[in-house]
Amino acid sequence: MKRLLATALLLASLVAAPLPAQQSGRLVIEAGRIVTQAGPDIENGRIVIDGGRITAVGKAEEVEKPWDATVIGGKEFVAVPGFVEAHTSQGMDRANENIDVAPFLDIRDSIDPVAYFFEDCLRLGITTVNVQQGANCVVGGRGMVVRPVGMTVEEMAVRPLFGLKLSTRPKGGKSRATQMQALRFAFEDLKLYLEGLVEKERDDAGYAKREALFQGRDLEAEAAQGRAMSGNAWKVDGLELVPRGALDERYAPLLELLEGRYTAFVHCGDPLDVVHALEVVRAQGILARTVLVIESDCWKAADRIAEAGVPVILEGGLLDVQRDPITGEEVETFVPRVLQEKGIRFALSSEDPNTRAPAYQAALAVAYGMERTAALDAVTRVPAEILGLGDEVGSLERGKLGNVLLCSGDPLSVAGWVEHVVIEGRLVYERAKDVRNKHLLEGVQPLGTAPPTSAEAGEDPEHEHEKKADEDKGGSEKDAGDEQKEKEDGGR
Amino acid sequence: MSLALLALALAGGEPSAPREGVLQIQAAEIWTSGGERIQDGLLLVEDGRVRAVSKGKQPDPGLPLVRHAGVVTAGLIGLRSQAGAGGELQDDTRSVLPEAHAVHAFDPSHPDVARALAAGITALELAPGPGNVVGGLACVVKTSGGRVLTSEASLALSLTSAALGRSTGPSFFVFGAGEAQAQPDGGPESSERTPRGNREPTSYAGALALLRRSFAAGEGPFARARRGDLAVTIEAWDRHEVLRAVELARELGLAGAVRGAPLAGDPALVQALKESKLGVIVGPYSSGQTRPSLESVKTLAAAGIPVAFALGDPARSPQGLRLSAARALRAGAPAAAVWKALTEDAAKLAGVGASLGTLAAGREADFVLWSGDPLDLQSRVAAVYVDGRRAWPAQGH
Amino acid sequence: MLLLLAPLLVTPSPGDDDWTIQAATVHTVSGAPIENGFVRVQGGKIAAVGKGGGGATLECAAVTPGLIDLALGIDTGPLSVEQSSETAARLRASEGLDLFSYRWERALRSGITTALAQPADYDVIGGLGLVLKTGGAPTLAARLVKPEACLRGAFGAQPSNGNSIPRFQEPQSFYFRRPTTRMGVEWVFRKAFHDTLQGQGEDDPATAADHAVLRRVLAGELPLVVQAKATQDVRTAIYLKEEFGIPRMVLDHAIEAWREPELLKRSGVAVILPPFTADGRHADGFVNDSYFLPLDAARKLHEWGVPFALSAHEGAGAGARLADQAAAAQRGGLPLAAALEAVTLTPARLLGVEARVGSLEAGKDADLVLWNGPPLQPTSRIIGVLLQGRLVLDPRSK
Repeated sequence: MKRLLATALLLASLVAAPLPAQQSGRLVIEAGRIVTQAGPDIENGRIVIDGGRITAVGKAEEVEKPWDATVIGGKEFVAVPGFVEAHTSQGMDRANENIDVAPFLDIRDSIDPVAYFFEDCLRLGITTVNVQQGANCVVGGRGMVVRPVGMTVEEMAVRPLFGLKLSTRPKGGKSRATQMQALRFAFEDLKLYLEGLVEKERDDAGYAKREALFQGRDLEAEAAQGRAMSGNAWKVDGLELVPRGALDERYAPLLELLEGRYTAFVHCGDPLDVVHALEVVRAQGILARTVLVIESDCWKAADRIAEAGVPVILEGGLLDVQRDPITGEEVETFVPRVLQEKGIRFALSSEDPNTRAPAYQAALAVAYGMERTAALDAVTRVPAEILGLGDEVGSLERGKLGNVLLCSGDPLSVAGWVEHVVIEGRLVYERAKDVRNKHLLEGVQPLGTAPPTSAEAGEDPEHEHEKKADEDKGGSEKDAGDEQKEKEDGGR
Repeated sequence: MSLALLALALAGGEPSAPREGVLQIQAAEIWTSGGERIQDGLLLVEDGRVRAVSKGKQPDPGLPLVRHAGVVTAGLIGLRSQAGAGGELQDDTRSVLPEAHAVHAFDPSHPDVARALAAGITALELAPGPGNVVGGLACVVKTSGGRVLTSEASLALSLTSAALGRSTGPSFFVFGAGEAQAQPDGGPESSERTPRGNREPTSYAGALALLRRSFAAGEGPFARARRGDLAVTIEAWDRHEVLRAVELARELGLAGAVRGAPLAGDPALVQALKESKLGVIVGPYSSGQTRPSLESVKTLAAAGIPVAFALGDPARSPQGLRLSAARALRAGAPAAAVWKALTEDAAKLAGVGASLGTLAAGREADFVLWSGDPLDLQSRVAAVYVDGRRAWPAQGH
Repeated sequence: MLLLLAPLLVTPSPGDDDWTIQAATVHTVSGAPIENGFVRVQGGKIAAVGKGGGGATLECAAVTPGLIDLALGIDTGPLSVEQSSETAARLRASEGLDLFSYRWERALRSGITTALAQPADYDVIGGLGLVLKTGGAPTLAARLVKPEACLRGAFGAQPSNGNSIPRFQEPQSFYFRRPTTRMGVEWVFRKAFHDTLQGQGEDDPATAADHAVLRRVLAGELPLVVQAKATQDVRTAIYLKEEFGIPRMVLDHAIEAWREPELLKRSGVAVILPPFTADGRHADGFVNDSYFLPLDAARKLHEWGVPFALSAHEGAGAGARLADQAAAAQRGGLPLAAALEAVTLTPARLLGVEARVGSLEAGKDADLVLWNGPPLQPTSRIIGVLLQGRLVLDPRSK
């Protein structure tokens, strides 16, 4: 039954789904320098991965090489932890649903394993991706954390049913007032629904039971799932009378959010949205599980964010340029530095098409005065922690998943390309064999192929008008006539 | 005039027969040139001209007398007015229309003219619109009696984007989108405007070439302007347009004014204007006018560059001139400069500086009786006299 | 971190413009980089460059010459080119400039101190371009480096855009006389040069003036800078160059020049590359077509010995500036020295202003860019800019 499946998946979400093939092989990675993001860099180092996890990392002379392991790498490489994409709305069909409040949606139905986005993730060195619904919603559906390899969603899944999307940025067609009203009412509506359920339980129980049996519901199974619980902020009197299985799936995920089962990813388009977002999550008691997904000029609300103690994911450009409306003078603000100075934990994301590569963003942060390790943390350890995967990914340490990048040179330099990508001990990308990268770099058309058409590259002319109606910020829209789009940082 | 008085005095004070068109106005305060104020003044008017302005003089009992407890000043002059023109000041047939006279669009009986009069405006300048590189000849008219003071007050040129690439005829093959919009409130300028149509010139360089050719061929108004016999006004809005206009005027030896120029106070522009023979006609200033724009009057006045206010569309607010003045005052412009901008310098930049703008012997007798300081918005117009006769209110006093 | 712009319109007082810049590396471009070097600036010019030095008033990790962008593209759009005729060679872009625009300050902040201003590409032959500084008083007199520095032309789809043939009615617009295709555009070019050589139509003063300019191009006094995005435009331009013997030609926005190595080498044209894009694709913008620029295009041109410059087309955001284009070119394999030259000395040479700008040598204009790390790398940024000896971006401001 649907509800059983839902429960099973919920339980499964607590366990990392392993990468299917080549589980038994051991892998040894050698590099001239290992950037562990967990201490000083290691010169001439060696990493051993067994069963998908790092079993040893250290200087080559101190780490034993298992005799049956495959060895890759060499002195010319720099090993870096696989980058963690803290939040994206790419890699799926349409990123936004028309309905305002749709927490029952599950992104696993939408993820497209062969989307170019996942291929690009490998080039950019992103090994863990948090795919969430787009920002054009009031309450969106549940996302999932995936690895960018696999031919099916199941193969890709790392944490299914992970995170629930909310937005305080007005959905297309809404004003800020109606957006906030809709957001508050989503919870209000939940409360009313729960109160209705309680009332039904308390009223003539016989009638309710007959009704349920008539509908074909399995009351015992429902009861076996346990009781509905309350969140932190408000209580519904008598909620414990309601079996969890009796909850309509349209409402259940929202209650689960309040119970703290999901991280809330709240999208904020500008500083005022931040204020509203914090107000709502405080009122619903989910501040501790909230992550703000912010656009560039939300740095103006940095004090509020710092005070609330929530982490943020910077989805917009790194440089915010404001123009004085009267004099025309421009003032630039480097957003990550503001966040760092205010003590806000932040992760960078690859959503902004001008600065997609995490390594490039880290390099930019260094240019603006951030210390190297902190800059790289923003694309490794911090997003890992935000996703609750701090023990699994984000650094090269014993016990963590074997997600490693081998770069030809300093990853933050122009010469540093991602040459090899290892995900959970499996070599999944080699730049030497990357046909599309060769085309981008040298203009060499692979024999027998045509360059990607606009549809393949993510611009679907047929659905273009729908995309525009979506106002999907997360979609991989490339503005065809816009020549100020940047060079990709290569096939990283 | 003094001879007549002398004769009167020598005649021993005998009242003579009342002379036609003579009037005396005794006022608590009379303003003369440059906003200089005469307390307890007497204004003598005859045959539509000012005979004398004197201080503390006793009025002649034999002559009609008007006593006024408030202030008497020269009438305001509304430049670039649309009053009474019925939207007929912008011709779209050709870019160069040197012989088009704006006076032929003037309807003295139009209610807008009466409204301007009631607001204390005694003369209006009607100029061809900014949509032609050479628009034609501006005129100066009175707001009562329909008198045309001059039908060739100045030659109107335009170097603003509105004059470039305008459309002619049906717009089937119009290129580009969006009408060229200037920023009248002095906000950030846009360097790029898309012309709507296909009439040449379509570029600033083309317009300059056209103007150089026209003035070089040197006939009619062009020749008179080069000689200095005819003032020239050049429409220019963005700062680069103003700079271009001023440099062209210097190159061709033209005198007159730049129209528009919301940011005329920019140091580079002030420098260029100082070295030219041009003043600036600014405004009308709206409530959204930016501070740098409002401070232009102060900066220009400090540099000794004549400034005047444009009236714009009186249908929107007959008080437009005084509101522009008030806004400039609040931004720090000296009262004397603002007053001159409403009167003397307005007349000068309109090309009629010899006849209008101040109360002095020999000038036209256009004056206004105010309840108080005319630069104070609380003051009201008590009466308006044009050509020596009371024009408003029509009856009673 | 806020980056506040120091006031640009500063009236210099004596002694104000004297600086000694100390840098871990001084990239002169005219010679090898100098480790632990200095540059002394006096009276708007570079007074001395060398190793060691003392009395530093400004310090940084690296100093380079001010950057030069030949395709900055700050113009008044369609109002910068007279479209009543397809060939307006006699008209000067200097007469349609808006020097008050904030876009110049923005370019200056990104390190560009000298730029080429040209008419926009709505005409086949648009007019005369000029070289000017991107900062200083907003008058031509204050900023001019070289008036009438090139003649601008365009191949491809843009000049014919908006033109159409009359259908069922009287032609009312001069757009009806104009080319509507690439071959029509080429025909206009060819006719202009042909008529110049034949001396035809010169009783019309406008045509005579146009021909005078074209003669200067044929004599090699003026380089002809033409937009040539597509392969066919590159070929057309080069064929015309060879047919008429045009000594100096620069292909601007030459996205697909890399596809024609033989033609480039044999003809001696120079190339200006547009900004690199994330996927290598450049949409035409005027016809339904797109072109491809690989990341290693600059390296290829360098290896073939084709002189080339990089450009940023007013790119302002992170990843979009001229320094970022140079970084992208290096990522495609271009060595740092060549990348630096492509944004300094090469563009200066192409426009004939290398006596004043393009390298750090005594006597040249004091246009300098100060970096907080090795120049043209993603991990470095511009922290200071001097324009003719005036500090327009202060590295000491926080």
